[in-house]
Amino acid sequence: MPSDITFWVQTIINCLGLGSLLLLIAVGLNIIYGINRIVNLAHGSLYALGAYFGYTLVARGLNFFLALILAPVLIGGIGLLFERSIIAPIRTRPMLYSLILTYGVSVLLDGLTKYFWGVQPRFIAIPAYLSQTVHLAGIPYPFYRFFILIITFGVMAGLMVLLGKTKLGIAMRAASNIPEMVSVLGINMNLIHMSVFGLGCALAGIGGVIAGPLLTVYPMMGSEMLISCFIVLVIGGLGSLKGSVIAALLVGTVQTLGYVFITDYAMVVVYVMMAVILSFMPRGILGEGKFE
Amino acid sequence: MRKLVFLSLGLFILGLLMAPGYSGAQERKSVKIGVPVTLSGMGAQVGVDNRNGIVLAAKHKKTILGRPIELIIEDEEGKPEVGIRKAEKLVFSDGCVALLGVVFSNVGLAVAGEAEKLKVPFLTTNVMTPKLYGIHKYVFRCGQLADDQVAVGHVMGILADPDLKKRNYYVLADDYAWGHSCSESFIDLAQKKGVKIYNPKYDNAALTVADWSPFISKVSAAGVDGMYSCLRSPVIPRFTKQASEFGLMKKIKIVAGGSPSEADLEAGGEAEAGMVTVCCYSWDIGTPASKAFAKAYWEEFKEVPPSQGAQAYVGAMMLFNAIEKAGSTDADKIANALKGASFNGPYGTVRISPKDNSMRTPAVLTETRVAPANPYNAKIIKKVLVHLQPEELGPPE
Repeated sequence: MPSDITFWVQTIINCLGLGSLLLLIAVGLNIIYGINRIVNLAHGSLYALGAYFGYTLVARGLNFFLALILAPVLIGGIGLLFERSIIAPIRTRPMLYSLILTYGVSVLLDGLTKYFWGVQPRFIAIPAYLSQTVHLAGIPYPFYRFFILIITFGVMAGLMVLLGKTKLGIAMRAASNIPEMVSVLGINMNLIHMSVFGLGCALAGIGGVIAGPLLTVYPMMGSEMLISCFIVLVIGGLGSLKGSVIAALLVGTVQTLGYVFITDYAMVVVYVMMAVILSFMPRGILGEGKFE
Repeated sequence: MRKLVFLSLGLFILGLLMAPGYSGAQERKSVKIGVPVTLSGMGAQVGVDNRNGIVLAAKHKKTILGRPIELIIEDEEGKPEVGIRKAEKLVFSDGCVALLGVVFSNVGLAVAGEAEKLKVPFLTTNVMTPKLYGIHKYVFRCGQLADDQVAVGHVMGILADPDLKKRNYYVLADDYAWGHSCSESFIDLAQKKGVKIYNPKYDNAALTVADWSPFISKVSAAGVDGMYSCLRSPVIPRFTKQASEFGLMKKIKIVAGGSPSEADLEAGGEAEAGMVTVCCYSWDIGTPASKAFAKAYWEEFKEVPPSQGAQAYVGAMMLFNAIEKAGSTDADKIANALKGASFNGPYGTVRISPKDNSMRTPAVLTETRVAPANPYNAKIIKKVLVHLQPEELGPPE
């Protein structure tokens, strides 16, 4: 076991970094399920599409930060179209319908992505000051990973304000628990559902643009990340944002330490952890049902 | 009545002319070659390079036995079960007389395992596992170097360079058939030759690893100054980019067990400079044949001429010439023609050994560097350091 202080400081930050990236991508999926009760299997593909949009915008000369705003807006727009055309008509149907349809959308998006951008991996170019290595008491660490932590914190803070302090957010939360009452009060449920879905997709887009410079942009990135997102959701509790935060940090830590100490079986440990948690807490760490 | 007789006679003669046995119809019938390659998933870029090399070879060869060449290309998705299914479809449904291609070792082994059932020659252009040596009379290994050949090339290169020779190497491998084979071949030979290996039991990385920070921190903490990487080509730019952000690339020299594709090097840009790797082909090889291939590839595909493309091109030409030599599409005749066959191509003369149905080939030890001005708009070049001869790389016959 390494005893080097540099190694341990880097590893702790690595755990936080991976956890925050997982949270950033999973939170959109969680919001869509928590409020709309839709399991969006196309979330990974939207995340990948966000990364490709970000890559294209930056490659065409747009500033990275503007791409970080514009790409999620575009993905949110696609999400709205998706919600109106495919999700809304089957909202009252059993969940199997949404699973199959969203899976079909993911296959379509993956095919279109491969058709337009090809199979070659790409990197989103970032400003030089974001890609530099900083030294913390002499310990080198990429500044961009701190940037990911900052963005994730900002997104979560923004979501807390939106859901806790704004009328729209309060209506969203109410719609998750007592949709009939919300409807009777004259609040447009279609608008709520559209907003939630668009927001969830936009969050996937943010995740894609943020992950692109670090993980490369490639056709399989969506499906690989989707599995990790579901692990976070299931462990944290479907519909629970606080649960997602705890679960993302837990998965990030276990996965990172797993890769360090038992490289061959790191993901096995993650799945075993999930099984153990669910056997004692079947609804996840913070339970399912209420969106909070 | 007379009209009826003449009409019947005419129809009979027409039927004879259109019958399959008639040589005129046969002359128009193409020679179908099945090309299962990975066109989706992680290995897609290498699959595209292989496909393009095979397509270019078919374009240059034009005909076999006086008949046009028809390539039937299928995506085996890098999965063994899909590879088997596609191979069966190509042979039993499409009527292909041979199979050519395949990217990953696990798919190659799976398809080779069905050789007795498929009963057509199967020539791999990218599979690196030595387990394919002499596995079946219909299975041939060409194109990409095998893991043991790569290991020899790298150990020779390391021992020849005082800077590389003194380094201590950390071995990191993708956790699947090729990653294990690549690392074990290298470690086994390196230790015999006195090259320092930090972790003889080597570390495996799951195929889904995207964030390499845990491994980077581990390599950094090990205090090594070298790394032998058995990572797939698309993974390499991600690893080196993340490693450079940690400052690791200034401390270590990477020797790449799997030569990264030119497209993946271009994706990573200048962060990919400084890697040592052995491959059959680099567009830096200055021979007329190499330059001609590079020019033809660029004109056809407008992409930096890749190693994998040249290797697949050579494999394809070997197969086409073997069918020509066999004078027939009979599987046994083609297989016999492939044994001992040779082709003088972009990187010299490649020969298939009758001992184990695997190629003996020249290769080059290269170092990735920032490219000078070039006709391909390439940012990175695999600069040739040493030319390696077939008898040096082996395996011995």
